[in-house]
Amino acid sequence: MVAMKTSMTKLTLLPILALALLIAARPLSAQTSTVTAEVDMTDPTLYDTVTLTVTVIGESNIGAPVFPTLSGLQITGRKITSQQTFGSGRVTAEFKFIIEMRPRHTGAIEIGPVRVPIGGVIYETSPITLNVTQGVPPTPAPLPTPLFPPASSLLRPQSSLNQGDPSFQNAAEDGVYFIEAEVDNDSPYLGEQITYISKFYSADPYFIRPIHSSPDFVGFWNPDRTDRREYPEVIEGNGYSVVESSAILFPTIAGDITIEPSTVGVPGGIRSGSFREYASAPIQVQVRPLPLNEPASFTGAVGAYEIEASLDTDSLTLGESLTMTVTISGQGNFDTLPDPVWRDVPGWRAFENDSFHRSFVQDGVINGSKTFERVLVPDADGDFALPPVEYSYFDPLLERYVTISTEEISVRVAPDPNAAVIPEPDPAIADDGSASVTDIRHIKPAPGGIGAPSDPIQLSPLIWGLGGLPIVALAILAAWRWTMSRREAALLASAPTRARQLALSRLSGLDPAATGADAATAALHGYLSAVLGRSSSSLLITDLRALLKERDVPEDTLQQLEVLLHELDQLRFAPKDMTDSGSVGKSVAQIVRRIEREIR
Amino acid sequence: MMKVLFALALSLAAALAMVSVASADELTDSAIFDTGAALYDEGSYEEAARTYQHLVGLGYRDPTLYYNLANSYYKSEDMGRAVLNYLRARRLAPFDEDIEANLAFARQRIDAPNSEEAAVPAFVQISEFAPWITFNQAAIVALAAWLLLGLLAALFLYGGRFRQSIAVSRLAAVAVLCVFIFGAIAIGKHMDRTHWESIAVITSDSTGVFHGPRESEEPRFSLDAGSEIRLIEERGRWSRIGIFDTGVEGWIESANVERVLEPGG
Repeated sequence: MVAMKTSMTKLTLLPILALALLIAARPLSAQTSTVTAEVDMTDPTLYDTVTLTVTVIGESNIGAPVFPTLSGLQITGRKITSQQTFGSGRVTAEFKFIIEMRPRHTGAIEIGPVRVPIGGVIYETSPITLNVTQGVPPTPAPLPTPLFPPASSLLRPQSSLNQGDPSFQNAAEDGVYFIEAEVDNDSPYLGEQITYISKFYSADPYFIRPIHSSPDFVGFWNPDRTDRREYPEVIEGNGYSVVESSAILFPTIAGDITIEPSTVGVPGGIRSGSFREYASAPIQVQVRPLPLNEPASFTGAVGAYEIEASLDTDSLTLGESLTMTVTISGQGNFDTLPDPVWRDVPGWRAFENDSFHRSFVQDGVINGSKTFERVLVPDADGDFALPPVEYSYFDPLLERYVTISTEEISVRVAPDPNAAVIPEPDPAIADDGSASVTDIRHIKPAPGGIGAPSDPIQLSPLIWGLGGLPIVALAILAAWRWTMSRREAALLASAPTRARQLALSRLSGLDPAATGADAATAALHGYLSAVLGRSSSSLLITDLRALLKERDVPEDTLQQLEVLLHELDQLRFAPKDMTDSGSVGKSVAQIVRRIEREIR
Repeated sequence: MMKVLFALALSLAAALAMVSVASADELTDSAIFDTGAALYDEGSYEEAARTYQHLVGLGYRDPTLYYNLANSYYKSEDMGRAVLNYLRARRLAPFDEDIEANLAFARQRIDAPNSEEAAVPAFVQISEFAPWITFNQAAIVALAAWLLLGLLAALFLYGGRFRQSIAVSRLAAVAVLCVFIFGAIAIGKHMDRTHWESIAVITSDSTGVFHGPRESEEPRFSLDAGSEIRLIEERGRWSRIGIFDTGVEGWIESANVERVLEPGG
């Protein structure tokens, strides 16, 4: 059980660790850092909520802000926003720490200076004074009539309404049901894990599962790690069914924080149709601020961690990039675990790429790891030693800061073989005419006139059509040539038949009184020439035999042809009265028909 | 044969002339160009930039015009548009020393991510050796050579007394060479467009880069005007971008970025 406090007289807000600072690692330029504090109103009433906004802008090494003791004010909420700007080779970070407060008394209340360490220099804001007046309570807006009454408005046992009773012992009971709540550590450090446990006891033998409602846990980071279990328990001889709910919490502000009651609604029975609501007592937790002697590499982590780093490659070419992976593992709030302080690596440009984490609950404690990836780009070739990455955290068990570090990593950067030489600006022709000041080169005239507007033509159908024209033309030409050659071949194939008809026609018209041997010889050679495709009269008889034999003319036919040709030669030079033209013509016609039958 | 070749050469010259024929308006526009130079010389840099931008708006795509426009923006302290137009000028005249020097100077001054690490396709590098030839001219010459090659092939195969002529063969070899050279240049010019379509420049100061196409979260980081980025995807009023030598990606509002390649560029 925890001690209760009903008033908040002092509240010290120290480093809001879990969500704090993601800082780039360049040396600080103090002139560019600013810290301002402002409130949205300076004359609030007791019923107003005042918003204090502390804005921190700097390039690197921004420490956690130290808030003053806010006497007379009750913290009702807080928020942090951050934004990083990359430009001109620098990373500039802007953080806004927003605190919502409600005055606790009338009169002047001073908000002291907020101190922020940046790059070893402490920046202070100016104090702010609030003039608080009584004011009038705001009139609540009328609520629509619900169809069903909310559980809290239903019949509530007297025992659950005694939260203001000093004798109330952190339990609500009516003999059959009661509920109690506790935390395992009522004075944790800022950012240290605590566990909130509520137990609902029921002695009802017809126990019906209750409707449980957890508090909002204002002032805590609740990573939604709620566990629930049921078990029997005997208290003073009475048996109870216990429903135990536990939630893991990380305080995000220092000072006294009240955890609102847990409530349980129990159905009053089928006939009654009502609910009875039981509420635990509120719990007060005194969150201790972290010690002020934080190391430079502390960015807000609380817990117990280990760190390791690796590269995706240890050798690369100039112009390429590598990815450095830094993994922090251990116990703590990994949802809000801040980045390490990234130190500037001489000769390298660094870009934040990604971060991701995983976590799990083991023995009631959140364990896990968070991985940060950074893309590094070398500006020059050579051998480099990437410096160790330091990470500091506050260990609440040891009650001191611990700094862990990775090993130095060696990287070799080879020269870029394709590197282009960028010409330096020529100061001799600077715009202002000075040879000592570099500037851009002057504008130029357009000697041949400026280029005319034109549209690309690659998609024009005419272009594609013209491009295909030669292929189409050649194809048509080739097809025409092929058709013509087919016709010629067909003509040649019918040549022997036509030659025979011609020869026979000549023979039939032979005049017996004329030179019959000459005509018969001409008719025979005309036929043979047509069959062989060449002049037969100029061939030797042996060649003629060979050609006809190649065309499958039998030997006896060839012998008969040879005899006939010999006979014709004799008759051509014989006296005309000795020539029997009819007999010679008949022999020629006979041999022609025979060859015609046998030739291939 | 000679008559045929003469006719072809005449046709080719006419085609090229059609591509680069000057209009009457160009004389007026040249006067506007000179006015821009005069404004620049008297120190009215913003006026000069507006004058040159007017010519760009008319459709002129000239490296000298872009160079002078970039100089005017530079002098007006508009570093985003200065770098953008230096890149446009360099795309059209990749070996111009003045453009290269001023681009390097502007980059050095703003110290922002640049596109020097962007891989340039081989065909684009080939086409850069003929910067004075436009895509249209290269395409027309390649097409004319291709048509000539078709004619010569027909003559060589079926051309009567030209059949298997040595002169026709030699002319065909020249035509093949032209087809390859100017075809490669035309392809390179076309790929050059694709290459430059993906390169863009941030034109607004401190442009937030987000994890996704929405403003509901804090930006991951910001980019200064003049940062050269890779444009990966456009979705509504958002663009997904990458930083060249890092692989880092994110989303920005499209209004804060301009492509190096203009429509018709």
